[in-house]
Amino acid sequence: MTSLGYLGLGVAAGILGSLLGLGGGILIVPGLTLLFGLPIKTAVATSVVAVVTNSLAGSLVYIRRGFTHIKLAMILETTTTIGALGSGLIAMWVSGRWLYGLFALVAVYMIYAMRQPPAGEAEDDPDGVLPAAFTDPATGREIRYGVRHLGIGALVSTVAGVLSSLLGVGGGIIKVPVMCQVMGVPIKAATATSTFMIGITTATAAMVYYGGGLVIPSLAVPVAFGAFLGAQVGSRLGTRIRSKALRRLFQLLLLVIAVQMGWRALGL
Amino acid sequence: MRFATPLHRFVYYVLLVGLSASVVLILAGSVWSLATTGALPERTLPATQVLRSVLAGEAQGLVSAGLLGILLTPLVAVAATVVVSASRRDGVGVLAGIGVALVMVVGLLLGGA
Repeated sequence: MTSLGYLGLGVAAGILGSLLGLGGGILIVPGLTLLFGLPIKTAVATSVVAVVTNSLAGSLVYIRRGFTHIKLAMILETTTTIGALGSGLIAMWVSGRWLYGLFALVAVYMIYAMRQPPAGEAEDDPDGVLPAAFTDPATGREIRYGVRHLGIGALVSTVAGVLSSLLGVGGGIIKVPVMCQVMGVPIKAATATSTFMIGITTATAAMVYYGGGLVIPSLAVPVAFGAFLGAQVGSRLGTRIRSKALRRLFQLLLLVIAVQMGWRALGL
Repeated sequence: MRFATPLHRFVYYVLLVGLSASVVLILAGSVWSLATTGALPERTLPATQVLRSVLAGEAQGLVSAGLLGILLTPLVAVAATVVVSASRRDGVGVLAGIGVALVMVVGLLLGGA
């Protein structure tokens, strides 16, 4: 029965994550700790396996459509993976209370970041480095763009790598807005590139967790499988549900999670 | 199937094969484990013991191999970008790919997987 519960949590996280353009980790970690009473390090290790699986599945779709800027992803990953590896090693030793506290802070940031849908697309702007192009299936138009402020992108990606490794979240909510609004990458390319990067970053941390014996198959398999199924359902539901109402609901859920995680961080 | 660039084609097939093979291994191990013990394995095996366990047809080995496969697929994809970049004489692509791959291998070794 518990396996069914883990599967259900994975499905719910996959659906909501896909509807909102997030990885499922932001729901899987609190779900496993608050609903199932598991230690946060076990929850994070389980979450990273689900996040890698979803990243691989999502990247297949995006790469086939040509949205993913693979070279940009590789350049940004040079610093992101270092952050992920360092924090993955730190996470093995750091107190669970610090992780609960950091998770609460990230949840509060996400409530703030989700006030409005992503904006600031810079399409048809081929200035900058690493020129790329893709055809937007919605309009049939070819979109050409160049990348600006690569240094800022590398810095922000490193922070995302640290957080994804420490907390088992993807970090897309940090990277995608910066790629769009600072680096001049169109939203579809930014989302696709971030999805591809998340798999590489999180796999780096997951190897450390696997070696440390924190990846438990009886947990990781149903959660990852459920998140994968949920993401498929969510991507199909996405066009029928009002995103504004969903965002408000998710912000409320994040607030509850932030309070609960903060409560635990304080040892109350 | 048409792809934007040869790099996109190569990475796509690496991800497709890696993810598919891993899912098959995990499903086979899970079904086998449920049929024989009534539950999924509680622990993964160290990487050095996985091959022997898979060859012996053990459920724990199959599930561990599948989970390792999922975690290693991004590393193989990074290696693929190095190969394609080298074939196109793209020095930046080669250097970036090697840098990322090195960090991932260090993670693998430090984790002792």
